[in-house]
Amino acid sequence: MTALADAPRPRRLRLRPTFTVAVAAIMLAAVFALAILGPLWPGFDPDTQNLFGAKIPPIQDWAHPFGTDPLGRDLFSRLAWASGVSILIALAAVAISACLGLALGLVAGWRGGWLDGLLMGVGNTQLAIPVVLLLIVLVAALGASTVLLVVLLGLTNWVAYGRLTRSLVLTLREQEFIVAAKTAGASDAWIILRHLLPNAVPKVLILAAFDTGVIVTIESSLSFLGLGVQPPVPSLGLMIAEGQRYLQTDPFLTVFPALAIFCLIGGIQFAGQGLAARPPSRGGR
Amino acid sequence: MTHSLRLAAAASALALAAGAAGAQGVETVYPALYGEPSNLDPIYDTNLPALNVYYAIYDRLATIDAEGRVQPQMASSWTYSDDLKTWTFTLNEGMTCHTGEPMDAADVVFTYKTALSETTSRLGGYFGLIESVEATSPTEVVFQLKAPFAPFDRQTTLAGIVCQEQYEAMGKEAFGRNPVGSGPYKFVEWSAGDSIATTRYEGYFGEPGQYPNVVFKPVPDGTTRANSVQSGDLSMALLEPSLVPAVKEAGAVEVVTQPSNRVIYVGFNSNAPFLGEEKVRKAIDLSIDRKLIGENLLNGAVTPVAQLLAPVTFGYNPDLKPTEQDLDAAKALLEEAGYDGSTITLSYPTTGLPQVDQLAQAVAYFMGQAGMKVEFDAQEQTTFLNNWFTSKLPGVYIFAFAPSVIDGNLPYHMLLKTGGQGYTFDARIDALMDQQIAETDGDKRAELLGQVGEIVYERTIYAPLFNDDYIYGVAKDVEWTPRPDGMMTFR
Amino acid sequence: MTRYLVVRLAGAAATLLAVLTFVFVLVRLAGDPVRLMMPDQATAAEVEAVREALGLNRPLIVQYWDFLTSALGGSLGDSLRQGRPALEVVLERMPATLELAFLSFAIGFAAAVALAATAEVAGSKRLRGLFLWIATARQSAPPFLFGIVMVLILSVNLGLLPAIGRNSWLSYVIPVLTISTFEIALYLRLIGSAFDEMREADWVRTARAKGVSRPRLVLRHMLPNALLPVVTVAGINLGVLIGGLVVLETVFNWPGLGRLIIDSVNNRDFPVVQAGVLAIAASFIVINLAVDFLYAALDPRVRLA
Repeated sequence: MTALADAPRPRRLRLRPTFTVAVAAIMLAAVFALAILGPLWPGFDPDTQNLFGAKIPPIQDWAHPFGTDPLGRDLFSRLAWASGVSILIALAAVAISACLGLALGLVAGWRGGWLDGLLMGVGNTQLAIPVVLLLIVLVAALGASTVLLVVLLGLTNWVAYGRLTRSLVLTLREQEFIVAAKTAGASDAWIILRHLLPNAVPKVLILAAFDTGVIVTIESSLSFLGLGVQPPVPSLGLMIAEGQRYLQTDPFLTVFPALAIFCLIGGIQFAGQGLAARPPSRGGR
Repeated sequence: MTHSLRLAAAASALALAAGAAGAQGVETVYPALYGEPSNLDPIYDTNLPALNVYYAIYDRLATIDAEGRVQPQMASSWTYSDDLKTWTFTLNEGMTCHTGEPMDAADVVFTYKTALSETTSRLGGYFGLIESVEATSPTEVVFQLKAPFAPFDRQTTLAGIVCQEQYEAMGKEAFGRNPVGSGPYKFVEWSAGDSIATTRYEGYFGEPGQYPNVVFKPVPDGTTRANSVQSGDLSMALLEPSLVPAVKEAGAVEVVTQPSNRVIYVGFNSNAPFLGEEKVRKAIDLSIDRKLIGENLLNGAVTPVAQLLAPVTFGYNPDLKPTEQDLDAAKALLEEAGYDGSTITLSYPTTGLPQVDQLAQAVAYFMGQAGMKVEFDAQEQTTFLNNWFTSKLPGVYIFAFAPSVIDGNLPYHMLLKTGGQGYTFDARIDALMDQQIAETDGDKRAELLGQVGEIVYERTIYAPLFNDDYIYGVAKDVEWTPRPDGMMTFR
Repeated sequence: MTRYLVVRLAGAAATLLAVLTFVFVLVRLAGDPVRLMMPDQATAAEVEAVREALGLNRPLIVQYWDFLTSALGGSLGDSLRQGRPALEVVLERMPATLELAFLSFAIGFAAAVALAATAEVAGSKRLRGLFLWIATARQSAPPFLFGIVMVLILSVNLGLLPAIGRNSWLSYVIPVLTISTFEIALYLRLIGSAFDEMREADWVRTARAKGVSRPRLVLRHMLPNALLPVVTVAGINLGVLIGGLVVLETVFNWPGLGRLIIDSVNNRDFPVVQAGVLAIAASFIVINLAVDFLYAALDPRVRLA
């Protein structure tokens, strides 16, 4: 069993406190603080409408520091809620695809053979279906809903994770410590859980982090087409889609959610850039 | 690729022409359609964007003017029998197809007969009431109807007359892509997804077209329309109310307002819990602050109404006054009705009406203030339409009706008459509807339709919200009058 | 080689069949097209007659079988709205979409290569960081918003460029600018990390020791090697880009396939939706097949097997 002791520990991410990382940290902290702490603000009220006080610009009325939306609702509260919704959608979708991709990738890589061929074949098929168009058809068939959005984004995005995990497994399974474990009579499940999974998870997490930004972009585009989150629940994308109707007269309606999206996507990308980790390619083989 | 090259050449030729003629007037106008026609064969397709192009290419027996009155077009005059079942149209002389052949009663009969005999003809759906159509001379067409139909002259404004010879020679598929009519503009080119170009037909028998070239551009997205009319890519475009202040402020184009024939209303599925109760419907009606929504959310682009017909529509009842918000009265009515706080579903189509998502949220908020619990049901537009047609909307809903022929018969027939798309019926309404359709005296008929409006108001069968304005951005060098039905015409 | 091609083509055919079946069922779940085509006052009997004439009242499985057999014969059915072959309708709109995707991709990719190479030749970490910052910042704004702002500035306020359409080369500027700048960050990162790995490689050190000039080393030796792994990702990404243009086609009123599909879903024009999705899936497959061959041609170590 000595061979097992030599099993390489999954490589840890080394954080280099560079300028980029610092900026990324501030950007992400801002959005997350908004999403988590915003609802604790005493004036938090994203629902109450006041058409007499619609589209109040920021800073004019301290009850509404960020101003109000076209229905007179507090923009700060809407923004905080929307940030939470967008983050949750992205995280949930990414979690679905990462778990699915991890599981299928592990199985495909470890078992190989026809199962591998089938799973990767299905993956190929999925990549060929344009997600946005699929969602347009799905929304027509089933109606728009947040759950549909999350499930669809989750189910269609697993392929990148599957491929990444599979290629990792393929290299790992030829390595000494795995071969040794196998000859020592370790079960498939044990090898997968004890050796392959811990090695795959960090890389999958990096990909997931980058993906989160991508999902936020897709979500905003779908909301622009009216296919995403449905009012009265806001999302950052939906707020931009609504705000762009007032872009010339009341730009703050668009600027705030756009800034939040910018901080969210940019923060993740910059963090990745500043981290020692190499950004993985989406859909790479 | 040849296609795109040809397109580019055509466009630059048009641009050159426009540049050359800049001094003495506009050579080409680019009106924005809000959707692309799928076909330009009026027998086959009756969608509104297509209808708009038909109004340029084809003439119809009669037409409706900008005030909503019916006027002669191909027919110089018409008469009807006392039972309103025999309609005789006398045609103008000297009408010609764009290919030069004469256009006469035979083409009219051909168009109607084809529409009635072809199963896949959508136009036929408008004219199920026709028993027979005959040309009694080259300038006279006689229709026999199965039942009296007072607004038949208005109905004929929907049927663009095709040139029989060309239609038969080309076959309907080819004709639908290369239409030939007798209207003031003839078809030039259709570049899919981008534009439908027409040019003035010099042989037109009546007043010639207003502009040498009219190029229709389908632009479905509201923001894109507003941007492109300001950038000069479009000559005139319907603006969404939310964009009007910005366009006005920028001042690049003229902003023209035209009260429409459309009424945005709240409907009720009276089979849903509590909505069968008149008191609950009245409470919903009373809870909504129409004035506030109109002025502050829809930028004043709407007028509150008390009936399903717009003022321009035949049968409008000027005596009905829109409901004023009264939350206390609403609450009291809910209590009387024994409303127990259970959830009421509010359905709306996600696209197709201006700011409909915001409107739905505002309506729901006001209902909430009166003590009702509202759940949103946003439906994709087509799904909503199908549900509306088949009376399958679950509870309260927001929708609109804009009768193309600007007459109250159709909306009342569909929304109120037993057997229609509605949910709540009334024997008095059925009787009034039967009476008005056979009424030869116009004033009397308008009064009968007005009485229907009264019953709807009294029982709150619907809660009409607004008659909205169509607001257009129009290029400054272009002279153009909008119409209440939203059709863009250049006659 | 032949065997490889046969296997890939069989896979592609299976993929397309799966896509088609999926879309066939889904789009029919979305509801009836006929009621929408008919005038408001059409009677139920009239609607039913049209439904029957179009064969839409038959059981789903019969329609599917009919569809499959005629698809094998090369026909994807007639558009319910236009009455002409769905494939014709789709092919008419395809060039606009492909053109925009390829052009934007090529420009974005070229820009990324140029920027990465410039930074590497200059040997400046700062310059590279700066490029990456700008590209990432651009990528953090959703394309539709970036596009709308560009139209507002360049078309509405300055009046320099057309806001919509595809009528002259000027109308390409804003759409291509919007998409290509969005793409730069991805390729910049990929090429940059390929350079990172290479910099310490033996052959690079040797070349440097031999006195190969830096520009020559970067452009002649490092860049071709860096591009190799990027090609596969680029292929998939280009395919995804084609399917994702829907949103921007709406913003720029681009007469492409995406808008056609949206219209057709709204109209429930089943055959056109099917043909449109099929066309996009097919272009995805063709691009990736091409990339595989390109990859094999570029890298002598890879054999298609």
